Amino acid sequence: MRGYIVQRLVSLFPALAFMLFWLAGGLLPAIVSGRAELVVLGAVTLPVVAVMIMSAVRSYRR
Amino acid sequence: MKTNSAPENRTAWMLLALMAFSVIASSVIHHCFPSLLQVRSEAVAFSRYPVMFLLDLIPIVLAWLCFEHARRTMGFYQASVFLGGSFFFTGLVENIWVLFGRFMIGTVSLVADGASGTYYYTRGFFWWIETPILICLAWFFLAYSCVYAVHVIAPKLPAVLRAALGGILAVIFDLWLDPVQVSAPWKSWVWLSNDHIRIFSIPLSNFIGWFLMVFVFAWFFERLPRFRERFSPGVSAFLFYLSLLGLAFGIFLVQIAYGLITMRLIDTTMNLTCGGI
Repeated sequence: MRGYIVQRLVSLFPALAFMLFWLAGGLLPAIVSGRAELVVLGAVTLPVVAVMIMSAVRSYRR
Repeated sequence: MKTNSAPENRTAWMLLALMAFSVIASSVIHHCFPSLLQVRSEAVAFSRYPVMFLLDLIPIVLAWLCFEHARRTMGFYQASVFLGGSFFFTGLVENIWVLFGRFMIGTVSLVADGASGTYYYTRGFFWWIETPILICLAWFFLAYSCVYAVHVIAPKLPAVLRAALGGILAVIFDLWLDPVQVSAPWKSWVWLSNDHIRIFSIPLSNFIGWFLMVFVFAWFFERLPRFRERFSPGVSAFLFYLSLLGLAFGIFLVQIAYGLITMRLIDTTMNLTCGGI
């Protein structure tokens, strides 16, 4: 049972790594820079975020 | 979880040890003997040693997440070859550009406005030659997560298309990452390139490079099992890295050709901008 839970959690790791970097490397530095346009520019990454969420959901359900 | 043979595990550990040794040696040279590689000193924020060390922990943790996933799905050997390959491959391409800009740029007339060079990195606690390991590791987990996401969503696509889509996803993310990281107060790297075509003030050649690196690496990585069927683990990894070495120089030549052609054909700088970026 424990192995099953761990396996499911690990299946989320690639999407989790991406999303954490999206936050730590993109959103937070954009906010700290104080330039609103940099935060707004983050919208260009929405397709990638959507793909990551879809892949996380699919690999979790496998 | 996939298990590996003893020779595969030995090769994997050797790769990781080589990575660790080269990072330690490079970091010592960068911080203690900066004149050796003419390290540029730049007064940027967050460049105190404890802060840089903490900032480097972030990509290390994120890379571990992807490495652990790769280890459980592909085995320790393939996961290590992926990590080592992406680390050395991207590091090599980045280092070629940084050092080419620093030492050789005048010879091909790619001189920027008053300052010669391509680009350089301003901060990092751990380095691989003149590239912070943040860049190498970020490339590893971004390439891994993008290619894996495509693999999960479209498993029936041919490998070449999966690799291409992974490259496109990575480039889309980089469209945002680069302008953020070069903005004040971060200035994680400084562009000196005189590329006339820019997207959000970042040279187009950067995005071409990102796409080519992720695409080519992911595509060739799919061939590793074929090498493994015919050769020992060590020879397979060596052949894979040898292919990457050739590809790295291929990408370098493509970008040189691109730079020379656009500089001849386009006189003014064109920038696709959004909100003045």
